[in-house]
Amino acid sequence: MGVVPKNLECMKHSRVPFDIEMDSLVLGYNAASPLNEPFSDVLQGAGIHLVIGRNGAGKSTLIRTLAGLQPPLKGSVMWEGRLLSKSTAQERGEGMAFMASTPPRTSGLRVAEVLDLMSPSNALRDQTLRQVGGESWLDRRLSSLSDGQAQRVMLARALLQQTPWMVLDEPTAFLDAPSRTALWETLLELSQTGVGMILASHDFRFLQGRDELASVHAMGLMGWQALNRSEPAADWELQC
Amino acid sequence: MTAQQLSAVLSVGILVQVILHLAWGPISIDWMDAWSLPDSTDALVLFQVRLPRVLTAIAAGSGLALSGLLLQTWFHNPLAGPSVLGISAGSSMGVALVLLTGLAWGWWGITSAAVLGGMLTLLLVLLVSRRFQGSATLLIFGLMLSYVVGALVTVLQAEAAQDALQQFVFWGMGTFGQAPLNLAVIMLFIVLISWVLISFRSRDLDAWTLGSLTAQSMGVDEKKLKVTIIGITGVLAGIITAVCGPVAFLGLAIPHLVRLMSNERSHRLMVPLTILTGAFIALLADWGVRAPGIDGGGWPLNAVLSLLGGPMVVWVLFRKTWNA
Repeated sequence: MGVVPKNLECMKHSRVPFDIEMDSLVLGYNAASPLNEPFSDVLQGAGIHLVIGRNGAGKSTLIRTLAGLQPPLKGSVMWEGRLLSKSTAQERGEGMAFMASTPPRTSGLRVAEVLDLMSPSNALRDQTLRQVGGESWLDRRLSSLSDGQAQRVMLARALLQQTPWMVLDEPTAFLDAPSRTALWETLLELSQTGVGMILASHDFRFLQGRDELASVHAMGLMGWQALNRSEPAADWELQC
Repeated sequence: MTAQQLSAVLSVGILVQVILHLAWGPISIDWMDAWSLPDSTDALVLFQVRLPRVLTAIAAGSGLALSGLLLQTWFHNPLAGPSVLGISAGSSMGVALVLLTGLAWGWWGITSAAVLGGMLTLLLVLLVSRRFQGSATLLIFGLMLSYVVGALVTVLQAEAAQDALQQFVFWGMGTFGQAPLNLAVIMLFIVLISWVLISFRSRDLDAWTLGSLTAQSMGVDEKKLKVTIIGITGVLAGIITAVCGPVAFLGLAIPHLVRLMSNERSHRLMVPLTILTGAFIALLADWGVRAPGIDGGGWPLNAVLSLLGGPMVVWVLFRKTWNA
């Protein structure tokens, strides 16, 4: 783990990421068509836990299931040894922040109002917004921003939740090339603050060979499978 | 206009209209006599006719507007509302069942049937809405539900006795002028309780606009919020439909009118502004019902509201298209 960059000192987490245990987990929406064979594994520690896989392999479903936003078809997820299905909405909100793959399109709230739903102080809110490159958007409506801009506001919102874990579903899907590079740099810096990130993404070449990468898993025909994180990114893709 | 300015203007507008509605009518009354002589015609007109009507208009306008706002937020759909989603039709079905079959008479029977019908329809809409991806599908479902329920009501009408049918048709035109004073006060009280209950949830409602999954990941308890919204909209839309008939457009149009007049979107401000605007517009629409009626029967409330509300909704649709 590197030194925490100065601008992220305030983000440093007091709670370390707890263990996320998946026990005989089967994902999906319909019991008649499960997405995968049962698998068990543990996600541990700070840094970026990358999940890759082809379209439709179940990455988003996994992300939602691990965040407690969708029940598994079979098996269970445990946070810190406790069944996630037994937790309250508040406990889930304190444990894990979630960023959806598409930004909200119908919310007329101003950026400041969105961030104030979570932010303990205006100073931290403004600093976090600056970090995602949106310092001039504070009074803009979310619906007036482009998808990419709105997605960066949603990242700032997730950061302000200050949880030990963050789950991000395709966070760069709506971003242009420079914003994408900038967002990856932000995520890499953040991963050094002690937060655990579960990240589903097709756009992972920025992570290749990085120390911040804690684990790489593939979801696909072979089931849930741990990949060698020091391999070149092109080889990960082949194993999906 | 800021939220404070707008609420001040609306409050004054409501107060002025209340005074004018109480004072104006085919019979001029002496307020001092009405107060001091409880058995006088003045007292009768003021306390049995005009005051219940004004209170009913305020309760119905604000209650339907609040229902509309809650449904629009819950379904992430700007065109949702109690009449659009078939909730008013469900309440009508309840009323038709008890009124046309002669199962029950009186306000309590009709009101309970309307609340039950509205709540069951809302539960059905909630149940199927999980299956729908696009927002248009939900609206089409609500429309179809209204057609089917409307057809059932027509069948009941064909089978009904003459006097029951007449009462039902009259009820269907909508009016603020039928409720007795005690019922009008109860309705107003229910709107106030709903306002208090929902004001504790304004943060949750704001988070909900960011998407249901994002809101839940922020600690919003989906079940609790859903129960609050079903409870409030079901009871409000049901009781208002029972008392005033299936009132059109208010639920759908008022939240949009608030969005046009004010720059605020957070529920902390949207909820009170919607309630005030609902009361103001309902009182305003009642002039359209009462004024032409000075020598005759007056215009049906639903005709006045459709004439006002229809163009407004079309305008909202156009604005959406242009902004997109």
